[in-house]
Amino acid sequence: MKYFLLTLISLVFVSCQSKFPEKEFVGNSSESLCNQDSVMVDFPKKFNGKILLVSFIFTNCPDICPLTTHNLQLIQQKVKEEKIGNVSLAAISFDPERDSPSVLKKFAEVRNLNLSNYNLFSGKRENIKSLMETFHIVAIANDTTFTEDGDPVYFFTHTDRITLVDQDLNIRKSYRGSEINLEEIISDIKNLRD
Amino acid sequence: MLYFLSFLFFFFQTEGKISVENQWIRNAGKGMNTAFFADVKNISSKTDTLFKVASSLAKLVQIHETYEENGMMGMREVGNLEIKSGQTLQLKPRSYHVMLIGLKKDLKEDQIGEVTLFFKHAGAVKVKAKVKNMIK
Repeated sequence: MKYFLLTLISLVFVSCQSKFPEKEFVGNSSESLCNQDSVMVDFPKKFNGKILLVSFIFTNCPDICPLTTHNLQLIQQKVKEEKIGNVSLAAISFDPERDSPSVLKKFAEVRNLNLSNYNLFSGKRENIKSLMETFHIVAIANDTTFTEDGDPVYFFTHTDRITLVDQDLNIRKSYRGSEINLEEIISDIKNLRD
Repeated sequence: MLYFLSFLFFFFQTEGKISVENQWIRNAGKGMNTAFFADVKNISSKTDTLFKVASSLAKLVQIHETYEENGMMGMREVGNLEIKSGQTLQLKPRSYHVMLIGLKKDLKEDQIGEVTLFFKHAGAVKVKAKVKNMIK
Protein backbone atom coordinates (compact mmCIF):
# COMPACT_ATOMS: atom_id res chain seq x y z
CA MET A 1 0.00 0.00 0.00
CA LYS A 2 2.85 2.35 0.93
CA TYR A 3 4.56 1.75 -2.42
CA PHE A 4 1.28 2.23 -4.25
CA LEU A 5 0.72 5.62 -2.58
CA LEU A 6 4.30 6.71 -3.25
CA THR A 7 3.96 5.74 -6.91
CA LEU A 8 0.64 7.58 -7.15
CA ILE A 9 2.07 10.74 -5.57
CA SER A 10 5.10 10.57 -7.89
CA LEU A 11 2.87 10.18 -10.92
CA VAL A 12 0.74 13.17 -9.92
CA PHE A 13 3.91 15.21 -9.29
CA VAL A 14 5.47 14.26 -12.64
CA SER A 15 2.19 14.91 -14.45
CA CYS A 16 1.89 18.42 -12.94
CA GLN A 17 5.52 19.21 -13.76
CA SER A 18 5.29 18.09 -17.39
CA LYS A 19 2.30 20.28 -18.25
CA PHE A 20 4.60 23.26 -18.65
CA PRO A 21 8.23 22.36 -19.11
CA GLU A 22 9.35 25.98 -19.38
CA LYS A 23 9.19 28.93 -16.99
CA GLU A 24 11.21 31.89 -18.14
CA PHE A 25 10.38 35.41 -17.01
CA VAL A 26 10.31 37.89 -19.90
CA GLY A 27 8.88 40.93 -18.11
CA ASN A 28 12.31 42.50 -17.59
CA SER A 29 12.94 42.92 -21.30
CA SER A 30 9.91 44.92 -22.34
CA GLU A 31 10.21 47.06 -25.47
CA SER A 32 8.15 49.74 -27.15
CA LEU A 33 6.20 48.47 -30.19
CA CYS A 34 3.64 50.03 -32.49
CA ASN A 35 0.45 48.16 -33.40
CA GLN A 36 -1.58 48.19 -36.63
CA ASP A 37 -3.44 51.32 -35.42
CA SER A 38 -0.15 53.11 -34.65
CA VAL A 39 -0.76 52.75 -30.90
CA MET A 40 2.48 52.44 -28.92
CA VAL A 41 2.59 49.49 -26.54
CA ASP A 42 5.16 48.41 -23.98
CA PHE A 43 5.57 44.75 -24.92
CA PRO A 44 5.09 42.34 -23.18
CA LYS A 45 4.46 44.37 -19.98
CA LYS A 46 1.20 45.71 -21.42
CA PHE A 47 -0.13 42.15 -21.28
CA ASN A 48 0.74 41.52 -17.64
CA GLY A 49 -2.22 39.69 -16.08
CA LYS A 50 -3.29 38.13 -19.40
CA ILE A 51 -2.51 34.83 -21.08
CA LEU A 52 -0.60 35.76 -24.22
CA LEU A 53 0.20 33.88 -27.42
CA VAL A 54 3.06 35.43 -29.37
CA SER A 55 4.47 34.75 -32.81
CA PHE A 56 7.03 36.52 -34.99
CA ILE A 57 6.21 36.94 -38.69
CA PHE A 58 6.77 39.01 -41.83
CA THR A 59 3.80 39.94 -44.01
CA ASN A 60 5.61 39.30 -47.30
CA CYS A 61 5.88 35.64 -46.37
CA PRO A 62 3.61 33.68 -48.73
CA ASP A 63 3.42 30.37 -46.87
CA ILE A 64 4.53 29.87 -43.25
CA CYS A 65 3.56 33.21 -41.67
CA PRO A 66 0.01 33.27 -43.13
CA LEU A 67 -0.42 29.77 -41.66
CA THR A 68 0.80 31.02 -38.28
CA THR A 69 -1.42 34.12 -38.25
CA HIS A 70 -4.33 31.92 -39.34
CA ASN A 71 -3.58 29.50 -36.50
CA LEU A 72 -3.65 32.40 -34.04
CA GLN A 73 -7.05 33.24 -35.52
CA LEU A 74 -8.21 29.64 -34.92
CA ILE A 75 -7.03 29.83 -31.30
CA GLN A 76 -8.86 33.16 -30.91
CA GLN A 77 -12.09 31.67 -32.27
CA LYS A 78 -11.85 28.58 -30.04
CA VAL A 79 -11.13 30.70 -26.97
CA LYS A 80 -14.22 32.75 -27.75
CA GLU A 81 -16.39 29.66 -28.35
CA GLU A 82 -15.30 28.19 -25.02
CA LYS A 83 -15.83 31.55 -23.28
CA ILE A 84 -12.26 31.67 -21.97
CA GLY A 85 -11.50 35.28 -21.03
CA ASN A 86 -8.28 37.21 -20.56
CA VAL A 87 -6.42 35.84 -23.59
CA SER A 88 -4.51 38.05 -26.03
CA LEU A 89 -2.70 37.27 -29.26
CA ALA A 90 0.23 39.05 -30.86
CA ALA A 91 2.12 38.74 -34.12
CA ILE A 92 5.32 40.80 -34.20
CA SER A 93 7.00 41.58 -37.52
CA PHE A 94 10.74 40.92 -37.80
CA ASP A 95 10.66 42.95 -41.03
CA PRO A 96 9.72 46.37 -39.59
CA GLU A 97 11.25 48.33 -42.51
CA ARG A 98 8.52 46.96 -44.81
CA ASP A 99 5.85 46.14 -42.23
CA SER A 100 4.67 49.59 -41.23
CA PRO A 101 1.46 49.91 -39.18
CA SER A 102 -0.54 50.60 -42.38
CA VAL A 103 0.86 47.44 -44.02
CA LEU A 104 -0.06 45.45 -40.91
CA LYS A 105 -3.55 46.98 -40.99
CA LYS A 106 -4.00 45.96 -44.62
CA PHE A 107 -2.70 42.46 -43.85
CA ALA A 108 -5.36 42.16 -41.14
CA GLU A 109 -8.14 43.57 -43.32
CA VAL A 110 -7.52 41.21 -46.25
CA ARG A 111 -7.68 38.28 -43.84
CA ASN A 112 -10.64 39.57 -41.84
CA LEU A 113 -8.70 39.32 -38.61
CA ASN A 114 -10.68 40.17 -35.49
CA LEU A 115 -8.44 42.71 -33.79
CA SER A 116 -10.37 42.91 -30.51
CA ASN A 117 -7.67 40.92 -28.67
CA TYR A 118 -5.26 40.29 -31.55
CA ASN A 119 -2.51 42.81 -32.34
CA LEU A 120 0.01 42.97 -35.15
CA PHE A 121 3.16 44.82 -34.13
CA SER A 122 5.97 46.68 -35.83
CA GLY A 123 8.59 48.89 -34.20
CA LYS A 124 12.18 50.02 -34.20
CA ARG A 125 14.64 47.42 -35.46
CA GLU A 126 16.64 47.41 -32.19
CA ASN A 127 13.49 46.88 -30.07
CA ILE A 128 12.35 43.98 -32.22
CA LYS A 129 15.84 42.47 -32.20
CA SER A 130 15.84 42.59 -28.40
CA LEU A 131 12.43 40.88 -28.22
CA MET A 132 13.52 38.23 -30.70
CA GLU A 133 16.43 37.39 -28.41
CA THR A 134 14.10 37.26 -25.43
CA PHE A 135 11.71 34.92 -27.24
CA HIS A 136 14.53 32.88 -28.86
CA ILE A 137 13.54 33.75 -32.43
CA VAL A 138 15.93 33.81 -35.37
CA ALA A 139 15.19 35.35 -38.78
CA ILE A 140 17.84 35.53 -41.49
CA ALA A 141 17.20 37.54 -44.66
CA ASN A 142 17.94 35.66 -47.87
CA ASP A 143 19.58 37.14 -50.97
CA THR A 144 17.70 39.96 -52.63
CA THR A 145 16.43 39.62 -56.21
CA PHE A 146 14.55 42.22 -58.22
CA THR A 147 11.32 42.29 -60.22
CA GLU A 148 11.33 43.76 -63.75
CA ASP A 149 10.27 47.07 -62.19
CA GLY A 150 13.33 47.00 -59.99
CA ASP A 151 11.43 46.23 -56.79
CA PRO A 152 13.59 44.31 -54.34
CA VAL A 153 12.37 40.85 -53.35
CA TYR A 154 13.74 39.05 -50.32
CA PHE A 155 12.48 36.50 -47.87
CA PHE A 156 13.55 35.19 -44.48
CA THR A 157 14.53 31.82 -43.14
CA HIS A 158 13.01 31.95 -39.70
CA THR A 159 11.84 30.23 -36.55
CA ASP A 160 8.33 28.84 -36.86
CA ARG A 161 6.84 29.27 -33.41
CA ILE A 162 3.91 30.33 -31.25
CA THR A 163 4.90 31.00 -27.63
CA LEU A 164 2.57 30.76 -24.65
CA VAL A 165 3.15 33.39 -21.95
CA ASP A 166 1.37 33.21 -18.60
CA GLN A 167 -0.30 35.99 -16.60
CA ASP A 168 2.98 36.74 -14.79
CA LEU A 169 4.92 37.19 -18.04
CA ASN A 170 6.66 33.81 -17.95
CA ILE A 171 7.18 31.84 -21.16
CA ARG A 172 5.53 28.51 -20.38
CA LYS A 173 5.48 26.57 -23.64
CA SER A 174 6.33 26.84 -27.33
CA TYR A 175 4.54 25.28 -30.28
CA ARG A 176 5.21 25.10 -33.98
CA GLY A 177 3.44 28.11 -35.51
CA SER A 178 2.41 26.88 -38.93
CA GLU A 179 1.03 23.53 -37.75
CA ILE A 180 -0.79 23.39 -34.45
CA ASN A 181 -2.68 20.99 -32.25
CA LEU A 182 -5.53 23.32 -31.34
CA GLU A 183 -6.84 21.09 -28.55
CA GLU A 184 -3.41 20.99 -26.88
CA ILE A 185 -3.11 24.77 -26.90
CA ILE A 186 -6.62 25.30 -25.57
CA SER A 187 -6.00 22.74 -22.85
CA ASP A 188 -2.76 24.57 -21.89
CA ILE A 189 -4.58 27.91 -21.80
CA LYS A 190 -7.21 26.40 -19.50
CA ASN A 191 -4.49 24.98 -17.25
CA LEU A 192 -2.88 28.39 -16.93
CA ARG A 193 -6.21 29.97 -16.13
CA ASP A 194 -7.00 27.47 -13.34
CA MET B 1 -26.82 23.84 -66.17
CA LEU B 2 -24.38 26.72 -66.62
CA TYR B 3 -23.61 26.70 -62.89
CA PHE B 4 -23.04 22.96 -62.99
CA LEU B 5 -20.62 23.28 -65.90
CA SER B 6 -18.80 26.14 -64.14
CA PHE B 7 -18.52 23.98 -61.04
CA LEU B 8 -16.96 21.17 -63.06
CA PHE B 9 -14.63 23.64 -64.73
CA PHE B 10 -13.29 25.00 -61.45
CA PHE B 11 -12.91 21.70 -59.69
CA PHE B 12 -11.47 19.55 -62.45
CA GLN B 13 -9.48 21.21 -65.18
CA THR B 14 -7.86 18.93 -67.71
CA GLU B 15 -5.78 20.10 -70.58
CA GLY B 16 -4.14 17.44 -72.73
CA LYS B 17 -2.13 15.15 -70.56
CA ILE B 18 -2.25 17.06 -67.30
CA SER B 19 -5.18 17.39 -64.92
CA VAL B 20 -5.31 20.06 -62.24
CA GLU B 21 -7.59 19.71 -59.23
CA ASN B 22 -8.20 21.41 -55.87
CA GLN B 23 -6.52 24.60 -57.04
CA TRP B 24 -6.64 27.73 -54.90
CA ILE B 25 -4.76 30.95 -54.24
CA ARG B 26 -4.18 32.31 -50.73
CA ASN B 27 -5.66 35.78 -50.18
CA ALA B 28 -3.25 38.72 -49.89
CA GLY B 29 -3.10 42.45 -50.48
CA LYS B 30 -1.73 44.44 -53.41
CA GLY B 31 2.06 44.60 -53.40
CA MET B 32 2.36 41.53 -51.17
CA ASN B 33 3.32 37.96 -52.03
CA THR B 34 1.17 34.88 -52.00
CA ALA B 35 1.00 31.35 -53.39
CA PHE B 36 -1.01 29.16 -55.75
CA PHE B 37 -1.68 25.56 -54.69
CA ALA B 38 -3.11 22.58 -56.60
CA ASP B 39 -2.90 18.84 -57.24
CA VAL B 40 -1.25 18.44 -60.64
CA LYS B 41 -1.67 14.96 -62.08
CA ASN B 42 0.21 13.57 -65.05
CA ILE B 43 -2.38 11.45 -66.87
CA SER B 44 -0.17 10.77 -69.87
CA SER B 45 1.91 7.64 -70.43
CA LYS B 46 5.28 9.38 -70.02
CA THR B 47 7.05 11.56 -67.49
CA ASP B 48 6.41 15.28 -67.84
CA THR B 49 8.14 18.27 -66.28
CA LEU B 50 6.78 21.54 -64.88
CA PHE B 51 9.47 24.03 -65.87
CA LYS B 52 7.85 27.46 -65.82
CA VAL B 53 4.88 29.31 -64.33
CA ALA B 54 3.25 32.61 -65.26
CA SER B 55 0.39 34.82 -64.15
CA SER B 56 -0.75 38.37 -64.79
CA LEU B 57 -1.67 38.63 -61.10
CA ALA B 58 1.89 39.33 -59.98
CA LYS B 59 5.11 41.03 -61.06
CA LEU B 60 7.18 37.89 -60.65
CA VAL B 61 6.03 34.26 -60.66
CA GLN B 62 8.27 31.37 -59.64
CA ILE B 63 8.14 27.73 -58.58
CA HIS B 64 9.18 27.57 -54.92
CA GLU B 65 9.47 25.11 -52.12
CA THR B 66 9.17 25.66 -48.39
CA TYR B 67 11.80 23.70 -46.50
CA GLU B 68 12.79 23.05 -42.91
CA GLU B 69 16.40 23.13 -41.80
CA ASN B 70 17.71 23.08 -38.23
CA GLY B 71 14.26 23.95 -36.89
CA MET B 72 13.95 26.98 -39.19
CA MET B 73 11.56 27.41 -42.10
CA GLY B 74 12.75 28.85 -45.39
CA MET B 75 11.83 29.14 -49.03
CA ARG B 76 13.81 28.74 -52.20
CA GLU B 77 13.17 28.77 -55.91
CA VAL B 78 13.29 25.35 -57.53
CA GLY B 79 13.92 24.59 -61.18
CA ASN B 80 12.10 21.76 -62.88
CA LEU B 81 9.61 19.54 -61.14
CA GLU B 82 9.27 16.11 -62.71
CA ILE B 83 5.94 14.27 -62.58
CA LYS B 84 6.03 10.60 -63.51
CA SER B 85 3.19 9.03 -65.48
CA GLY B 86 0.13 8.54 -63.27
CA GLN B 87 1.65 10.53 -60.39
CA THR B 88 0.42 13.72 -58.76
CA LEU B 89 2.54 16.71 -57.84
CA GLN B 90 1.02 18.33 -54.79
CA LEU B 91 1.49 22.08 -54.67
CA LYS B 92 0.49 22.67 -51.06
CA PRO B 93 1.25 24.77 -47.97
CA ARG B 94 4.62 23.99 -46.34
CA SER B 95 5.79 22.33 -49.58
CA TYR B 96 6.05 23.12 -53.30
CA HIS B 97 3.96 26.07 -54.49
CA VAL B 98 3.73 28.68 -57.22
CA MET B 99 4.96 31.97 -55.76
CA LEU B 100 3.13 35.12 -56.82
CA ILE B 101 5.53 37.93 -55.93
CA GLY B 102 4.37 41.55 -55.88
CA LEU B 103 0.61 41.26 -56.41
CA LYS B 104 -0.80 43.85 -58.82
CA LYS B 105 -4.12 44.02 -56.95
CA ASP B 106 -5.77 42.76 -53.78
CA LEU B 107 -6.74 39.11 -53.92
CA LYS B 108 -9.77 38.74 -51.68
CA GLU B 109 -11.74 35.62 -50.83
CA ASP B 110 -13.93 34.22 -53.65
CA GLN B 111 -12.21 36.17 -56.42
CA ILE B 112 -10.87 34.13 -59.33
CA GLY B 113 -7.28 34.29 -60.55
CA GLU B 114 -5.51 32.59 -63.42
CA VAL B 115 -2.12 30.89 -63.39
CA THR B 116 -0.43 29.17 -66.34
CA LEU B 117 1.72 26.09 -65.80
CA PHE B 118 4.21 25.18 -68.55
CA PHE B 119 5.12 21.53 -69.12
CA LYS B 120 7.76 20.08 -71.44
CA HIS B 121 5.26 17.75 -73.12
CA ALA B 122 1.76 18.98 -72.27
CA GLY B 123 2.66 22.59 -73.02
CA ALA B 124 0.87 25.51 -71.39
CA VAL B 125 -1.96 24.65 -69.00
CA LYS B 126 -4.10 27.58 -67.92
CA VAL B 127 -5.76 27.14 -64.53
CA LYS B 128 -8.43 29.30 -62.95
CA ALA B 129 -8.38 29.21 -59.16
CA LYS B 130 -10.51 30.62 -56.39
CA VAL B 131 -8.96 32.90 -53.78
CA LYS B 132 -9.35 31.50 -50.29
CA ASN B 133 -8.15 32.34 -46.82
CA MET B 134 -7.12 28.78 -46.05
CA ILE B 135 -8.37 25.33 -46.89
CA LYS B 136 -11.16 24.85 -44.39
